[in-house]
Amino acid sequence: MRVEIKDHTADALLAVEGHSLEEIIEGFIIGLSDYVWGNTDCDDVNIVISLSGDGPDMTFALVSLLSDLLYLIETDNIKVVSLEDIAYSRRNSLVNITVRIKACKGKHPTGEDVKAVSFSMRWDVSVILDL
Amino acid sequence: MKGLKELNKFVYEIPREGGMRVPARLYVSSRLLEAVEDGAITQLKNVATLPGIVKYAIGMPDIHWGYGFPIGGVAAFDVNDGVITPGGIGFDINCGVRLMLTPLTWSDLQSKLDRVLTAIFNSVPAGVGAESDLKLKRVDMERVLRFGARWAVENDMGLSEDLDRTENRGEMIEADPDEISGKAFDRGKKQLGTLGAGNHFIEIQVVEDIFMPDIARQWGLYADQVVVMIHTGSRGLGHQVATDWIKTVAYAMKKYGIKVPDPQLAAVPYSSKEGMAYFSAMAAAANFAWANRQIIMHRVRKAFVKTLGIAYDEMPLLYDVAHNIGKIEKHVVDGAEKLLVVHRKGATRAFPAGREELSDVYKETGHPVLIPGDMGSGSYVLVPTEKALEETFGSSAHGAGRVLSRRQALKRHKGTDIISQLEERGILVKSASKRTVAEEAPDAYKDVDEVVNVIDRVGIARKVSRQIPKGVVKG
Repeated sequence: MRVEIKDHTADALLAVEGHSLEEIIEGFIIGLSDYVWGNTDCDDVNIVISLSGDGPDMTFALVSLLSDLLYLIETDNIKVVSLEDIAYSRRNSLVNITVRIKACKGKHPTGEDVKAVSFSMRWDVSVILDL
Repeated sequence: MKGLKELNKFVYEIPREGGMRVPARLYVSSRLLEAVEDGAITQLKNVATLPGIVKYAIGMPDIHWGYGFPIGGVAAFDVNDGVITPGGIGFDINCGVRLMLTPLTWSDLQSKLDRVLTAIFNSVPAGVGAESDLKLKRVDMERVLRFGARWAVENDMGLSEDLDRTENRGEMIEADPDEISGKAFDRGKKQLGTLGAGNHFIEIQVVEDIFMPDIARQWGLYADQVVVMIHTGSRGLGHQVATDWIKTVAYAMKKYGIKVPDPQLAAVPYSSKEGMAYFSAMAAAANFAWANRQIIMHRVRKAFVKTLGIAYDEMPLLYDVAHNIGKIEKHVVDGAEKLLVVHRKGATRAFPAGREELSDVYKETGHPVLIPGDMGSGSYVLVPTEKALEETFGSSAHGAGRVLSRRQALKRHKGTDIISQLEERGILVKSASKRTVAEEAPDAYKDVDEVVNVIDRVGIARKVSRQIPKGVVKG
């Protein structure tokens, strides 16, 4: 899994490469948390939190999930330690992603002041061409 | 730049092509044009495709690539058949600037600058994670969202005349706290009266140049005067409102048959249930921002009273302007008066004399337009002209606009070096984070003088005064 931040004058692009959808979602969750927290550690008290996001497509659901994570980071000062479980479903044109994360609580993040998560115009899809 | 038609030295047109319903216009000098990213031009063209847009999509001299809609962008849509797009207002709803006057000259303050700046820094929470000491109950928050700056004044955090000197009197009556989510309440309740981080600041400035002595005198501005500029917005509450409503609007868009070239420009008809509800939520967030700037100014005044012994009411507000907002305004389009939803994102309202929205204080002159620069350069006060109404829906530029990303600036600078360099130039900086200082280094921004000169030369607004920073508080 590779997590990369590409910044721009007004915002930053969080890009993740992975071998499965689960790994990519994990990359986004850990990537966002680490970006906001910077090098700050938090107390060694692990808590487990469930989060979910939904929308008409996977991007929408991911943005919704990450927005909820950002809200928890800002209001409850939680830092993601690891991802425990991921489930996603598609029902009646609604994609849902539900995750369980292990998190710890800190004083407050000292990394980037991320205020919102939203859609990117970018789609990167890889295929293999056999030569 | 390809496809641009030069109308005159400072105005370029992008003719209609593809799905554009109207042309686009750029107000830039040839030097600023070189710095405009192709992405910002594409975004301006995308805005021109939105239903109900009138006249043209406008790019100000400080235009740069934003979320869907360029920062430094203005677009107006007919209320009857046009759209509203949260991307055209931005995440930091009612981010804006206010300028407070003092009765002091630089020589009165110079030896006490450190003391007063420290007092301000200690009384206004700043930086990532900084929390307000105001503990608001839900009912109080609802009143803030409904009444904006008036709530602060009624709670002894300002003077009643401050409201006459605030755009919209610091209160959009369309605000409806019921359209604000619980998450937005949660994010906002600890942040009222806080500065935030990033490009937000409190600056003690000194008036260096007066360009229009009569207007300056009328407004109480004079050379060598100490003034204070405050730049901040609606904090996490505004960002949460934007996040919530971008999602709602993106969902709803399909049922109205609206297709946009970029999902970040998700839009619904203004007159739809979702459009009106978003407008009410946006107005509530705007009110939160006006209350926020009012409370911060109250604390700045108290810091001056405490450290310098001057009276609280000797420090009038010159003006407070929003630069990320949507407004319902009447404008003349093709000879007929129309009611429009004007989106100003990174653009400042610029209403000349006579507009019905102006308070008596500015009925005869038009209201002051405030354009801040970076922390190493000047900021400006301008007076709008009729041309602003004719050409830009009564709008002007809002600032310098970034040229370097935060990371690029961090690679290039250390916060401590920037603080030392500014100190050598007589500018004292107090910041919650050295990193923020590096990110906000003066060379991370365009030349504000060039931006303002375009506005002045085009004649949208005229330069009244230029202030230089002496003391800066950053998050």
